[in-house]
Amino acid sequence: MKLLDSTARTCSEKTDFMYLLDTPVVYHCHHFNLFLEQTIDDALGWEEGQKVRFNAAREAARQLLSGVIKAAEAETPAERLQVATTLFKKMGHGTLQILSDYEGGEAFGEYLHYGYSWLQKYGHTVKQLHPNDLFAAGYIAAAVEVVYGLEPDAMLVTETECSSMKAPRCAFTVTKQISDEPFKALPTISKELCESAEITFETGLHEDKIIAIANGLRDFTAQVEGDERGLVEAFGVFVTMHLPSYYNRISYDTEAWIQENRPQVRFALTELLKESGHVCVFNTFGGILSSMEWEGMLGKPSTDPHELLASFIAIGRALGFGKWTIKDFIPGEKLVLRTPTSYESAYFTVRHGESDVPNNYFVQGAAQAIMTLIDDLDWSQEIDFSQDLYLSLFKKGAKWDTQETSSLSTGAAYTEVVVQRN
Amino acid sequence: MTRMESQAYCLEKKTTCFNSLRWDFRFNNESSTISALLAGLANSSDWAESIDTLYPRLISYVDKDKHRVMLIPETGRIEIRIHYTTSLAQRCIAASKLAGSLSELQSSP
Repeated sequence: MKLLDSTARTCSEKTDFMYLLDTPVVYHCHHFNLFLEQTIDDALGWEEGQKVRFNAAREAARQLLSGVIKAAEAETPAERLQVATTLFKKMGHGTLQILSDYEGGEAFGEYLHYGYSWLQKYGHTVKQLHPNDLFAAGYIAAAVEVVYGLEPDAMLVTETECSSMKAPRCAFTVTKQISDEPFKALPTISKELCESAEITFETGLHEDKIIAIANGLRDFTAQVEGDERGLVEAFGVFVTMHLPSYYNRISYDTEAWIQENRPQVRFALTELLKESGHVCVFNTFGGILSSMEWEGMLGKPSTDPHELLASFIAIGRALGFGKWTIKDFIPGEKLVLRTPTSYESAYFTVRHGESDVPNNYFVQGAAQAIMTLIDDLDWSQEIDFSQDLYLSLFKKGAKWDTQETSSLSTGAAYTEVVVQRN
Repeated sequence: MTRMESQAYCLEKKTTCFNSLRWDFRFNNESSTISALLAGLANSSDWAESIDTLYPRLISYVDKDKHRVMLIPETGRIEIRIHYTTSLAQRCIAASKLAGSLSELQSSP
């Protein structure tokens, strides 16, 4: 049996996407993960939300596990399950024990990313009413299906106890799923697909600097993997290597459901999907820039807006978000972020075809947040990236007008987001 | 508690997403130096240097409970990182104890 080594993760110079074998991956922190899941549940309600999250997790994890288990050349089911749980841990999602065969069984989780980080972030002030490790549940289902060569929707996994509800550990039941309808395979987004697409790349501002910083950060993230508990604590956040297909499916499936069933709240949903970009940039990008690791690698963050912007863009690339470039930047006035690759459009166009409207919600929110952090913060002082600061920056009314003026999702050659002072 | 101050040092909790895990540490006494602290850490059997070549400016030590002290001599920045498995009730206490021991290490001959 061969477990994954460091060569399994690759970063593409062409697209600035990142892959684990053939599956696209990105890094996101627990703030983003919890915010996005809350958005889905708020839009759909918990019953429907957990179905969407479970199905998306099972599908995305199946793609990843099919490749990884095959590459591991594991012979027995026990060995193949070990490959799956080891990978889960390395990606920073926690520790799983899967005790199931093709008939079903049970599974247990400790330090699961969603439940544990929820407890850390909200546990002292909010009571959790529902189990929230749907990503783990979907992953367990995919693992059992792949290990035993079952159909993609063969297993159902339900979390019965959750650490976010103060249970000592998370517990899951694994059962056969009886479906009335035959399984319909949907196209997946692979490395081959992403890398074979032609892209239109124009060199932007500060490109050399961006490449150098992004490469340094990739060297750092190459070392990042779950500790003995399966968690990654870095830059003041819990980091996961995650599956963009999961994020995309829960976001766009929810948008489609809302459009069909409650179109009056679609605007609110898309605003929240954009806010996920604020949450990510504020917490992860802010955490990276203010960290000892950043200072140890590059020194204190620059106070020059152009240099700061180059750092933000480099972080986006290093996390696997795409080939973000600076088309135009006037400090305090305007930012034009352009990218010939985006993980949102890569998914959307393959699964849904061309969109009628620009829908790179995460990139829109991220671009606006970058402009906000550069313009509103005093980078000569130490910055405390607290919740109070987040609220003061992003909840006080729209200072910036943000438009996706060109979109890969609508068939354009690049996605372009323009952020201008209102 | 977000800030603890003694004659020798100041310990201030950083607002990160976790409760009470990261603390800025500063000496209050001008005669206290980061180089003396580094020498104290290097000679201490309670701390082991954690080497990471990615960060040429950053020096990191870890203790048996996996708490860390991170130092950047160039800028004088010192951070104490409490391991996340430490219970919430114990984190401030652990940070305070570590700050005291760093202060002692700095002043030890």
